[in-house]
Amino acid sequence: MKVTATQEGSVTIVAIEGKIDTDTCDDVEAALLAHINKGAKRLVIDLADVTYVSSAGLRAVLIVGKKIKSLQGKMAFCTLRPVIWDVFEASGFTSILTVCETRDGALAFCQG
Amino acid sequence: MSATRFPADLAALAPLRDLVKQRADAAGLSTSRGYRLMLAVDEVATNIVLHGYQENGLEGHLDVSVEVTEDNELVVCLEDDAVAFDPRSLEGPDAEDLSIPLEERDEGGLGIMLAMDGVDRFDYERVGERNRNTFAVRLKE
Repeated sequence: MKVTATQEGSVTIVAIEGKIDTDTCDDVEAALLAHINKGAKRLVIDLADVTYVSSAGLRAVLIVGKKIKSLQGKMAFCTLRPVIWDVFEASGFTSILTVCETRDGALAFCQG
Repeated sequence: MSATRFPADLAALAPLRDLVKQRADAAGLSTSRGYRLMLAVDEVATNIVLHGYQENGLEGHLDVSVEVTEDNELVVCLEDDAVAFDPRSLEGPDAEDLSIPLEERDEGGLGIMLAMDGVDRFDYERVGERNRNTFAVRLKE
């Protein structure tokens, strides 16, 4: 699992690579919270290179999402593989979180 | 039916998933259904390792077998020697719970729901001193 961040104006784009499972979820959560603690309030989370997400990863997503919400920030996920989209949908995440098809779409949401 | 033995350890879950995925691909299961089967086995196996073994100070194994039955089902059988536990006894979120807004949403409980929801049939039985979890998905005729 690898997390890479880039800044685009006021938006922090975090690209995650690999698997988000019981083994790696704490690292993913810590990496995202570290950006928030450094002041990031607008987060695009690019999942294009994420091949697997289990409920442990979904839990981390909820924790980070709640944190951003409590700070009145903005967060959008983008470029999910179909299998990951399916799990987000089955968990109700596509209706309670912002999930975009493209990185540009997610960026536009966070800039708005 | 021959089983593959894994140590009951979180580090064994990735190779266990790879085995299920490989066999699902070989059986001709679609990518999406293969993924959901792999996820289902992972979620239940994670529960067994954390709550069945580790919380009780136990060590042991996970025995996994995968076969295609005469009824044209792909069946994954997961057995362990941990304390008796039926995953169906956990109450997962329902449709109403899943639409609760983010700020009030409960963070847990998704694993078993995704597992039960991701296969065509799930069975649990206690066989002697062992737990047997069975996951079945239908293959196309």
